[in-house]
Amino acid sequence: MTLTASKIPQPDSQLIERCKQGDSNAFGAIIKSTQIFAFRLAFKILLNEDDAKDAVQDSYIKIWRNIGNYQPKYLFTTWAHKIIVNTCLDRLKCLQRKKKITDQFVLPVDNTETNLINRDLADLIKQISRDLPEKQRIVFILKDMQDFSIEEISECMNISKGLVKSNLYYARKSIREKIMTIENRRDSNVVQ
Amino acid sequence: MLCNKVQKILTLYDLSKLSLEDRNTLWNHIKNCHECALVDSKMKNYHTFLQRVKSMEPVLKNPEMLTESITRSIQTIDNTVKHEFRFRTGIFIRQLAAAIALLIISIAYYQQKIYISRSVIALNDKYQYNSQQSRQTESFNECLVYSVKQVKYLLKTDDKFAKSILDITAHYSEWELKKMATQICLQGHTEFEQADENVKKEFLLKQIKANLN
Repeated sequence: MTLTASKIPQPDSQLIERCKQGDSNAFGAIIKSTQIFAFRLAFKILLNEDDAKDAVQDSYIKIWRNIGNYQPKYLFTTWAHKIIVNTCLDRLKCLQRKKKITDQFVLPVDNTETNLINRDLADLIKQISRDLPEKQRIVFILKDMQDFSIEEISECMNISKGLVKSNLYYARKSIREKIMTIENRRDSNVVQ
Repeated sequence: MLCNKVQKILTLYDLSKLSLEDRNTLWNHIKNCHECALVDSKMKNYHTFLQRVKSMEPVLKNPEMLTESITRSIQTIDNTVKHEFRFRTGIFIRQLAAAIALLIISIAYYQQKIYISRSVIALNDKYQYNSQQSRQTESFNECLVYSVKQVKYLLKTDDKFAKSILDITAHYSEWELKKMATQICLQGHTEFEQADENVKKEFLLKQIKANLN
């Protein structure tokens, strides 16, 4: 079950205060309690386990560096998710630039069960969101896969709520057609 | 209700949050519109599919390793930041020293400039004073020449004057006349300079007599 930023358990405000004082042990405790949600979000955007881990690591480093700027009037997870989403978007741009190079290499395959689950999920998301423009894909992931609110997406992506809705409308319209194709193909495979 | 609006509502909104009246209007439209009914069916499929995808959460292997890796990175960064701070402090101290040295050099330069300009002003003043002095000397010399001439002239022409001082001044040399004139001038060349011819004569006589006596 996915949890939106506002539903994820918030770190204790005393822990955050200790982090602001430079207590890395307190930050370690925050990492432990929130990293799984950060990883899931990063994985759904980047669709690769290693990239997602790297993005999570970069995001926590940014959070640690900027924790002094965090204002308690916002939810910590909303603020953290904004950093994670932006880090993932930066990484995505970087990966797209390197795509030609990475396509030439065959990545090592790990056939453990957990990796299969991740790969199946990545394949499924890739199938339905493959041809979507980046903004529509990210809005779809944040809204429909991560249950973010329109306000949270607008905040994370620095775009207006109207633009979020418009991107979501076109993304859903495109994906529902793809789902129909996938379902039809699956049905025909079952019949054969 | 227009098809565009219905399809937008079906695609974007949570139908359970619509009012009962809106929902009834929507269902009535869908019942009679094949295109909107198809969109409704596709959206139901969409949500079912989505539920299936959402049930497959990505799995994070060895979360402890990720925590450790992040913590280690942060510690490395902190150490780098501390090192950078020390490095920057060192640079700052050097920059401060350079700035102070530059300030001292600038102050010295400006002091020197002020000193030079003051010296120039002083020299100028001195020059002006000297030229004033030299003007005074010129006027003194003029007075001297005039006095000598007058004394000689009076001795030659003014009988009364000559008689009164002939015995003493007849054998006066040029040099002694000059000396006498100098004394006359020193005593009051400024007054002498400003006086008219007769006054000058009287003055000279008076001074000569005073000197001779």
